[in-house]
Amino acid sequence: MSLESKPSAIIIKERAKLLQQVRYFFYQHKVLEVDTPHLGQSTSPDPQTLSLKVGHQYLQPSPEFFMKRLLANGSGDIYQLAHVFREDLASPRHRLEFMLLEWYRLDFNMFDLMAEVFALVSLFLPNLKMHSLSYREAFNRHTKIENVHTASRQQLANIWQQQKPKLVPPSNMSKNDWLDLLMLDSIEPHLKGAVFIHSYPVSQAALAKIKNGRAQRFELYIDGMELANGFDELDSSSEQRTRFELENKQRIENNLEPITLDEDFLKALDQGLPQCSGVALGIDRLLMLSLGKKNILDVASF
Amino acid sequence: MANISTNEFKNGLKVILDRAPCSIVENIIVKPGKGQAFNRVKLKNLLTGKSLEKTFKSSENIELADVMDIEYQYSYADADAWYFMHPETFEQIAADKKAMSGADQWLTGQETCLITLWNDNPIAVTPPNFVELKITESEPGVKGDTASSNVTKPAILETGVEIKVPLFVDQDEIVKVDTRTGEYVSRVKA
Repeated sequence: MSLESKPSAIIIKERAKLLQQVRYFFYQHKVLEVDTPHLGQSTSPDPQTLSLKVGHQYLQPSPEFFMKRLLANGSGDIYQLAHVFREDLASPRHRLEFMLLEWYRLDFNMFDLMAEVFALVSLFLPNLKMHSLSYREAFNRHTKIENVHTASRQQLANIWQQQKPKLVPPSNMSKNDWLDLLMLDSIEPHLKGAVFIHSYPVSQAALAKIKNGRAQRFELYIDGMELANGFDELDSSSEQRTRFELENKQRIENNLEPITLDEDFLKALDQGLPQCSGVALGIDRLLMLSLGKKNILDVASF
Repeated sequence: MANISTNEFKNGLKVILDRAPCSIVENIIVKPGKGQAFNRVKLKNLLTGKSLEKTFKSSENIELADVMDIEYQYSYADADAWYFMHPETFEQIAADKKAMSGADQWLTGQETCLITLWNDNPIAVTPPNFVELKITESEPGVKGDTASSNVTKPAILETGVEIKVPLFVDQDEIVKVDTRTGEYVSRVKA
């Protein structure tokens, strides 16, 4: 818990400065600011994203679906500074309501956008060196698994147990579960400085395109903390629908209510989403990093 | 017994792991940047007394253990077991040597003990924190020179257990002992 009394004048001013600098960055890059609803008829069916319900609507965990509808309608490059809501388990880096900076760039691939994310973050963390490695390289370096994409579930389980000899492993682990646990235990703690991990397994594609058997997805970690998650955006409505339906199936398996799909969003994909890459970046966490704070409550206004 | 989700884990909760009742000592939730969250849990096996650390997937289902801690009064012992009586229902239960886990060395009769029951079977017995026992055997203490003198001497209590007592404490005296540490606390006026 924070020891500072709220609200702190310094934090309020620093937050304002950061937001102003973000806006100026996008003004210079000719990206339009948009403001989309916080409440929607639908939400992401991802079982790991817990959306809050208000009546028959959902507080949005991300402005993604609304922003893609704008893109399909010809908005061009857009960004948003949005309050989003996720019922995450409390932690020094998680808060139910937090601020995401989300932006989309036409004709950018994943690597173009990674460079732009680095340029933005460097405004606030000037001495950062950028490292970039593929998911496969990250696993090779930190777990000695040469090709994580073709490794078996058992191989992953064995590596984890070798690295954590005193812990009893969880039961009922799929290959994807092992990938998550190895990321958590064997890779994230060793990511120092600014590290982009890109080219995720197909099973973790979320809303990213798939190219050469890899999800065009990247994550930015700074000192082991996840700061941004980006994709070369999937533009096929049938593929998106299939992924949503799989997520709903997983929800049911986890005793969660399935989500009625966002047909307006799927219709927009049908209409035609221009080729673009998009990214979501945690503003509170960025402020934490720039001010050297260890707890998200230390950069909150209240 | 009912199942609960790992999301409902709390310290002190008793669950079944590998068919043994375990008590949750610590529960920390960890989440990678994206994806499945996990619970890092420290548990104590109530049958063996051993500690273990297990990682659970969040939203995993675990069976709750029917474990209760109830106060009973110690009655007597025979070759097979130690017998306790419930102070209100007068129900009698028997605990074996394994369940006693050393508690027998502090009991003479009538002490109130906490019995841990799993599916109504005693699996652990906790004696009261302090007991008062008579010393049945102890040599008179002899002070040596201050540089190398022992300040304690061995004493055997009426239950047969040996503890260390200060030199000024004599045979036939009653002493108060901390059962958790096995250490002398003070003399007791008869």
